[in-house]
Amino acid sequence: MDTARRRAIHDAMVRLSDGDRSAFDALLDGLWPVILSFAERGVGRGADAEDIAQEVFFRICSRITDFDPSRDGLSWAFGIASYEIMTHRKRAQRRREVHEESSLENEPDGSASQEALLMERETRLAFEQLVGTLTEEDREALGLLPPGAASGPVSAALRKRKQRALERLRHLWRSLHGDP
Amino acid sequence: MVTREQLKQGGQRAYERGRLRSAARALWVLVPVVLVCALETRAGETCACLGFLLVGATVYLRWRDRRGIHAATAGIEAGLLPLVVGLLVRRLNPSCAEAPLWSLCTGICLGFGLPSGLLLGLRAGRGNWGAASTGMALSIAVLVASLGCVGLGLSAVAGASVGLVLGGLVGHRRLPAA
Repeated sequence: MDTARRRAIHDAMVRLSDGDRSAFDALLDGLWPVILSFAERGVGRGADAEDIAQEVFFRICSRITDFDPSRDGLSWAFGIASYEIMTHRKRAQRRREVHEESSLENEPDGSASQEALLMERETRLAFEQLVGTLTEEDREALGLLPPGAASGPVSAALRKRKQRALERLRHLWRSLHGDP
Repeated sequence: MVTREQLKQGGQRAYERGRLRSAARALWVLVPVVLVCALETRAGETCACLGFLLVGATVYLRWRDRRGIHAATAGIEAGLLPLVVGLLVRRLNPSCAEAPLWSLCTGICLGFGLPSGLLLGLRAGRGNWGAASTGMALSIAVLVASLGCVGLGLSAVAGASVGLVLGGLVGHRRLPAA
């Protein structure tokens, strides 16, 4: 973000904390896109991000009277936003835990929950897409070719090739999906 | 998807609520002062009436803007000295309540109101508050002082008020020349 925009948001905050109601439009235009994008980075795009951004914006408006003009306005706003995002994540985590517990209670035979099955399917799909980007040699080295396609004895050179192919696969996975 | 208008309306509502909540913090000071006045002077109705005016003016000023917050705070601070003196005089010399207009009790209230008003006027002049905010601050100071002097009769209230207003005007006018 450029300094002028940051300064404009800060000035609008100072004016509002002084009681100048005419600065509201400037605050809304300057701060809302920033808060929304911050929330999207925190919880991903979608209705959740917008709800959080809205909650954060209203909270900032309600607490702006206590804003200290010697502090940076945007940092202050991000502090409030971070807290809201953290609260949302904790709430979501708790919901997930409760859901998992109830799923386990509903499945005494130990079979996987719907969520676990979905995750497994997604992981498999992502893995298959990734394998498709490897060269045929690498796939052969990793034993990922269809049965009968691979040939030849297992030698030291092949083990080395397998190791290199695995490294490349790991590297690709990390670059696309982050650390497992 | 929330619209800009919805965001603006919600934000403005939250802003005003926040300002009101912040303004209402003055009640932590004002309510005990009004209660002390009612208990010490046994003039419950008068104290309640003065307290109502005081709370209304203070909350309005603090809600309005930052200048109002400064004015209300300065007014309360300026009125505290005549308030305490009024309560003390009543406790030490209860006959003051029946004293005539020109009496020592009126003089005491006027004498303590004058320096408080002077300090308030100097503060207002230094902060460039303007006539309206200075007037509001003086009104709040008079209301606070009245809570303490009401037990000494109308003459004491008048004395404290005259002292505060005179001091305030002198202080406010002195600063630019100094």
